[in-house]
Amino acid sequence: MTVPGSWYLVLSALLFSLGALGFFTRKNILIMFMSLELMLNAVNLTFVTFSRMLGDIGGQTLVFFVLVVAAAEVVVGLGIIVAIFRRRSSATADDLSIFRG
Amino acid sequence: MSFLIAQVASSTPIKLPSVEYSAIAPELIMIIGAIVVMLISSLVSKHVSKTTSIAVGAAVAIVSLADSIYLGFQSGTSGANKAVLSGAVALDKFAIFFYALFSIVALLTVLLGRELMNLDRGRVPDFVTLVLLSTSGAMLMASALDLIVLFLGLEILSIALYVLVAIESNSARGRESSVKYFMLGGFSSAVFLYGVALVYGATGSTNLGQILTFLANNLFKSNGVLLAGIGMIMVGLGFKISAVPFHFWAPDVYQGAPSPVTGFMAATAKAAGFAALLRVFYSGFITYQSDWVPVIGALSVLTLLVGAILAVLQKDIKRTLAYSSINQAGFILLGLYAVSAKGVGASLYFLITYSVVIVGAFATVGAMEKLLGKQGLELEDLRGLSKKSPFLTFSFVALILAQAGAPFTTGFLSKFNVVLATVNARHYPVALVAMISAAIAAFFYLRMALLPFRAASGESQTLAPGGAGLEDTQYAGSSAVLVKEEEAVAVKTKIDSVSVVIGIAVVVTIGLGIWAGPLVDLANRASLFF
Repeated sequence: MTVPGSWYLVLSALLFSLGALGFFTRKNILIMFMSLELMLNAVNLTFVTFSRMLGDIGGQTLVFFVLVVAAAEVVVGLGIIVAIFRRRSSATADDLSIFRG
Repeated sequence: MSFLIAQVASSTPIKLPSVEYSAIAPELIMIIGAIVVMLISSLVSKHVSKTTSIAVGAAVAIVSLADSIYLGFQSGTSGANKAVLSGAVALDKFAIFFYALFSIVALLTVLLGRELMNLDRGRVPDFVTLVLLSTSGAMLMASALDLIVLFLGLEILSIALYVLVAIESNSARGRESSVKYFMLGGFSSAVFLYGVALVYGATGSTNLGQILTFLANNLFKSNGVLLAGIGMIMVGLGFKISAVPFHFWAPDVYQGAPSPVTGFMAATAKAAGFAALLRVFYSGFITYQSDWVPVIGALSVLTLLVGAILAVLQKDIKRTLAYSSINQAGFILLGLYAVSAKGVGASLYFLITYSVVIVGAFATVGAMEKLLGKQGLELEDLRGLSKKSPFLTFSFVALILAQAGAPFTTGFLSKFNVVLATVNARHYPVALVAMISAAIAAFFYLRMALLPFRAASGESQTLAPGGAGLEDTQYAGSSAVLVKEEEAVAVKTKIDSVSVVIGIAVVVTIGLGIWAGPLVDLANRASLFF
C-alpha cells in the first residue's frame, strides 16, 4: 500500500494545531511545554515530507538543526520552570500573577 | 599500522569549502569574546572577575564595532552586495549597519551590568557572556540569507535572552517574566518555523535568493501553502517586534526583567526582528507584495493605536515604556508599509536612534530604582526627582521627549521621516492614524516628563522646616546647606559607568538630533533593497 505525501502533510498540520490548541487551553506549564515540543516535531515531519516529495535532501538536513535548537530550548526552559516552581506545590500558569494590566 | 598510515597519507585530501571568516567576523568576535569571558570567570577570583569581565565585554563590543565600521568602508569602495558561505549569509551594507547597531547596544548594556544589575558576585561574567551571545544571534539574524540560518540566529538571540531575564536569582518578578517570555517566544519560534517549512514545500528552497528567483519565474495554480507560510513567518516575527496583536507578552516581560536587560531586549530583539522582517519580505517575497503589504499596513495601524492608548492607562514606569515601545514599533512598521527606499531608510534610521534612546531610558529607570531603593517604580514615584538628582531628571526628560518626537532630538526626524515616506506612498489615512497616535502618545510622554518637577505629596513637611522655632530653622537651614554641599561633592566624585552610558545616550540623541545629516545618509545607504 502506498501512502500519498499529502497525508503526512495533513497529519503534521493536525499535530501542529493540536499543539497550538494544547498550548492555549492547558494550565499546567509542563503540559504547555510539551505542546510546544509537539508543534516543533510537527514542523519536522513537514520538513521531511516536503523533502521526500521534492526529492531534495536539504529538507532532511534542516530537521537536525531544528532538533538541536529544540534540545537547547528544553534545557533552558526546564531550568527556568524548575527555578520558579521549586518553592510551590503546583506548576500552573495561574500562579504567574504578579503582573496585571 | 604503517600500512594504515600509508593509506591515509595516499588518499585524496578532503576538500573543505572555502569559508570567508572576515564576512562573519562581528559574530565570531562576539562568540569568541563570550568564551573568553567564561574562561576568565572560571580562572580568576570572583573579586577580579566582576570588573575584568565587564572590561573584556566592553572591549569585545568595541572591537566588533570597529570591525563593522571597517567592513562598512570596504563595502563602500567595492559596492558589492555579496552572499558568502554558500549563499547563506549576506555581507552587505544592510547587514553591516545592523552589526554596528548591535555592537553599540551591547557596549552600552555591558557597561550597566556592574552597578544596575542586582547580581551575586559570580553572576556578572554570566551576564556579560549572555549579552555577547545574544548579540551574536541578533547579528546572524540581520545577515542571514537563508531562512534556517535566520531561525538559528533567532534562537541564539532568544535563548540567551530568556536566561538574561531571569538572571537575578532573588527576583520572583524576573523569573515570572522569564517563564512568560520563554513560553510565548517558543510558541512564536514554532509558528515561524512552520512557516519556513511551508515556504520550503512551496518553493523547494529555504534560501531567500532561490526563493526570489523561483517566485519570479513560476506561477502557482493555487498558492495557499505559500501564502500560509508567508503569513506564519510574519506572525512569528510579529511576536519578536511586539506588533499588535502579538504584543501581549511585552508589558509583563519588560516590567519584570532587570532594567538593563529590558533596555537591551527592547533595542536588540526588536531591531533584529525588524532586520529579519525587512530582509525576508523585501528580498524574498517582494514579488508577492500585493499580498503582504496590506497586512503590514493593518499591523501598523493596530500597533500605533493600541500601543498609544494602552500606554496612557498605565501606572508603572516600565510598563508605560513597554507600551510606548509597542507604539514605536508601529511607526517603524510604517517605513516597511511604504515599500520604497526612503521608507526602509526611515525605518533603519528610526531603529538605530530608538535603540540608543531606549537603552538610555531604561538605564535611567534602573538608576532611579537604585536611587529610591525599590524595584518597580510607579509614575508617582517620579515626583520630586528633580531635587534628588538633577542629572537623572535631565536625562530622563531628554530621552522621554526624544521618544515623543520633540524637535532637536533624533526622535523628531525619525518620526517625521517614516510619516513622510507613508505620505509619499499615498497612504494618507494611515499617515493620519500615525499623527493621531503621536498626539495621544505625546500626552503620556509629557506627563512623564513633567512629573519629576512636581513636589512629592508628602515632601513639603519633610523638606521645609515648617513647625520649628526661629533658631531651629536657621540651624536646620545651615545644616541642610552643609548636607547639600556634601551630596554635591559625592555626586561630583562618583562618575560611574551608568552615568557614562546615560550621558552617551543623551549626547547622541540631542547631538544627532541637531546634526542629523550623516546618520540619515548612512541609513538611506543601508536600505539596499531598491
